[in-house]
Amino acid sequence: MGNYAMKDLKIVGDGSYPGGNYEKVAIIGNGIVSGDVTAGEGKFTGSCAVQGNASFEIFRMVGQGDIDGDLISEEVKVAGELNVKSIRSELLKIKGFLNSSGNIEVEEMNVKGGFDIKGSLNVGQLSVNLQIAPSTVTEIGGEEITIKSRGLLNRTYRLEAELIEGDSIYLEYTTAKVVRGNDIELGPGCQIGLVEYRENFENKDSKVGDAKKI
Amino acid sequence: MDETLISKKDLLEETNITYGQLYRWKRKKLIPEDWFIRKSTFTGQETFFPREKILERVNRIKELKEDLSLDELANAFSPSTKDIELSKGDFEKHNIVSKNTMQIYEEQQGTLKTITFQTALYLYILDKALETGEIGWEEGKQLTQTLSDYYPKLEQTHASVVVLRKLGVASVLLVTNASPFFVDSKTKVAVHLKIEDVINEVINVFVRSGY
Repeated sequence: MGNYAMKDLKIVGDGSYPGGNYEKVAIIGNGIVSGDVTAGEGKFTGSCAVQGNASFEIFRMVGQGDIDGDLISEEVKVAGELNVKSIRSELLKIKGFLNSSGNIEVEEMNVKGGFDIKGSLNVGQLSVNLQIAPSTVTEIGGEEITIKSRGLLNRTYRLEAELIEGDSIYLEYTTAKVVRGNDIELGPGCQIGLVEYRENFENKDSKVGDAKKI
Repeated sequence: MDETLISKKDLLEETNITYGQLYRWKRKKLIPEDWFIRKSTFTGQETFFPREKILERVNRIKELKEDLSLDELANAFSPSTKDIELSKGDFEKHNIVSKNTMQIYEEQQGTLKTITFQTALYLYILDKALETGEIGWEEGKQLTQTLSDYYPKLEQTHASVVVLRKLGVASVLLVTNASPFFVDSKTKVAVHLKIEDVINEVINVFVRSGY
């Protein structure tokens, strides 16, 4: 693997190439990396796949991407659909849809679109604008969590979660069994089984089974 | 309910931290993943923690976070702490391990000039093992060899060092903590050290010595 260090991997058109250590990995078209890949920069355009784990400093993707393993990066920017096992990153920006079979751990996450996360989402700052399709997640834990659904033509989409925990939480159009936090504000369209709050709780236009101050 | 566990809610109340802090520390690997224990309760799924460990860890983080950044803290708690490096002289001055231990280690691994956290950890484990009086010079070397060969491969998992003795012959094992192990009646467990605990002690020693 050492021999590949500091080299670029470029795939234009159709192609399948082995994984390894690269300075830069650029795929335009229909490319497959058939193993674990490590690079300073990953740039995928089109329909791309990594059959293993991917580790980048910066990862940008336009189109459709499949990463069979874990994605580790400082910065992830996606426009399109990304399917991945898990993500660990400082920044995660998505315009489109994210599918993950495992956990997502990011400091800052920005979503315009939706996600289906089978594991838990652990995030510092989360800001979501629900569009395109319904979203699901098992668990969200974080500091500032904002879920909105503001689209064209007043179409709204829903988020479904088991549990949401955070310091400051604002939710719209969310169904959750339990929401816990310091400050919790519910906008329109939520259905929450149980709300547990420490400081403030505000309910503008949502259904809540039970709300307790702790 | 199991007394050795503490629920997340009770933990936050008792230590006066917020959900955000807890999740942030988890992201930064200050709290190991395997301390988060999920259990079903009548309100659905709840998360529990090993009571003593988590209380000690949270209090330590709260104490240290005044002086250190979270990333520095993460380094301090991670078993693969690599940034610390001491000269041999400094290390010996603090009497962290006995002269004997040093000698065994150097005989096995070559003379040391500087001591990284990793090396300090191996030395400390060796020292503790020798202190029990259960293992001798040669077995100490065996232990050192095992640690330096295989411990780096474990990276973040939480492991134990075990020395077994049967009919006077010793074997060194490096096992992950996930499952308990059992030995036959003729075999004696001479040494059983949780690396995590040792790491905590080494960090304590380092912090006390001002590193």
